[in-house]
Amino acid sequence: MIFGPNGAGKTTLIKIICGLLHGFEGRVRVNKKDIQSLHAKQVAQLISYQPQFDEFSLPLKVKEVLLSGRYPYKSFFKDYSKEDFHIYNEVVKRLKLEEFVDRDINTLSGGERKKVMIASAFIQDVSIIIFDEPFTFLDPGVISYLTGMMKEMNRLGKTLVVVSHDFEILYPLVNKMIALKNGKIVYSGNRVFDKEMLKKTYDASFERIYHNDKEIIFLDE
Amino acid sequence: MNKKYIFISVIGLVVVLLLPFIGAVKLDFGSLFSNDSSTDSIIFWQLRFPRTLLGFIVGSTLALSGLMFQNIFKNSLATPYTLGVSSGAAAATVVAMRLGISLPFLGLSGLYLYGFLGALITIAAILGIAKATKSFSIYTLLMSGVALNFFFSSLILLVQYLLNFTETVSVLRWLMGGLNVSGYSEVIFLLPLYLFFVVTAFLVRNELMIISGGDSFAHSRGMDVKRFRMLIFIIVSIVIGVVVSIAGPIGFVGLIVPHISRLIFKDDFKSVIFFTVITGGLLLVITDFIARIIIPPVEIPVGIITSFLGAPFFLFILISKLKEQ
Repeated sequence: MIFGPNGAGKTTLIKIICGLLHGFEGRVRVNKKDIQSLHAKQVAQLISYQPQFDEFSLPLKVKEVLLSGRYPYKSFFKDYSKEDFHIYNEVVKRLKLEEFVDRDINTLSGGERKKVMIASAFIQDVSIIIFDEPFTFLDPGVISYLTGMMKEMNRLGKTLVVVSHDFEILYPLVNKMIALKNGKIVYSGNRVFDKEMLKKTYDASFERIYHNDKEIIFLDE
Repeated sequence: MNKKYIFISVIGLVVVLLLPFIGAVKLDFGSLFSNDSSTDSIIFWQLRFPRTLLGFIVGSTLALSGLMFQNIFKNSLATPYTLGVSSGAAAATVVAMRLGISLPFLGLSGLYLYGFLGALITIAAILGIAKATKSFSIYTLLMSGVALNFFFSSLILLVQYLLNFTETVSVLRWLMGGLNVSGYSEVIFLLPLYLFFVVTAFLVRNELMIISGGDSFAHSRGMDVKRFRMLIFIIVSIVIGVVVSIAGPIGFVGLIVPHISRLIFKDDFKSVIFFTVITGGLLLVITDFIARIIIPPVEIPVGIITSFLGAPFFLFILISKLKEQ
């Protein structure tokens, strides 16, 4: 979990990790490989980036959006292979998206779009998935679907990097936390509730309670 | 889906083969295929038929360019002229007309060459701005295009102001866009470029589809977004430069045909490309046919008709589709 106040540089950081931004100091290494030395397609076989908002404006079939997850594995002159379609069909079936595939992505609700983007990360078959504020504007039902999917991804051995402020949702799930402020890492470590650190990061107090066995973190007003 | 493909292709073929027979001068069918030197035969084979072919190629190219620009700029209002390439071509042509320079080139009118040079200058200017600002974002490109459009439009007006009356009329006529050719040199010249362009569009269909989902989406799918956008911009601009030099800046086709294709034929992006290619050609051939016959024997420049009939037609499709939903 990467957190920190607005404008701390969280999105910039993950865009650098994905190779979307260039011209920075230092290096990004993923699985011991230098991201900058890799071709865009090779990066896309490692990392799937889930931006905060998608920018679909022209009509596109959900099927086409999902199949594009196999694009990093396709050579330029060839069409999608049998294996690509096999993976696509398998994920569509597993996530129960059959009724959506022929619809225009722009006609879906925010929650349905999120489901499609999650499915496309599965289809892309990467080991790292980066979410930028995934819970914004979602209803509780979709949020619980999303956290369920995140647990599932984790169980399959995938690494999830999540930029979020939603401690209530995310805190019970994370095992590493990084706090950013003014472009600098002010905390990096295991999941730990440190009142002082949170206060310093956000200029706001957080409280922790236990409900049955569940640990809950919330903003203390 | 296959039926739709065959249906529209057959309509396309029939229209292209049939329309040249109809026009201000009634043709004697018998002489068309026997006597090569009769007036009727010349009207058909040297005027109407090459004009129809040219109309199809030009319309199809404009529509496909519009589609590609709309996708790489993920903006449904982008047209082949958005980045100022056609005003660059038009300005250069008008300047050449004013200066009276015109060197024939490969059997084509020398004015074409100046139009093409104008397009190249515009492309170089936009690439220069992108390089100077180290940004190849949609925003930089569109804004540079808007600025260049205004600059070239003023240049055209300035030159027009300096022209005498006869020259003004011929410049105006050119700016209205038209397909007045005799013989096949334009068609033969455009054909290889056109085929290359259509094949390219089908080859990069996945990339065009993915890039319309936005830069971060395309990048996270492993696309080199900047390089692809630059490549498509250069290819489309060169093709548009050539087409505008020959047919003048014919508007509207490049804007509405991609929309019509998206509204009606939305199986997948591949079929949108296919229908854009065919309907683009058909739309210009049909409007040019109307331009030829509507006030005989006067021929109205096709550029006027495309917008005049295209706008209500487009609104009709838009409204009927909205009602459907």
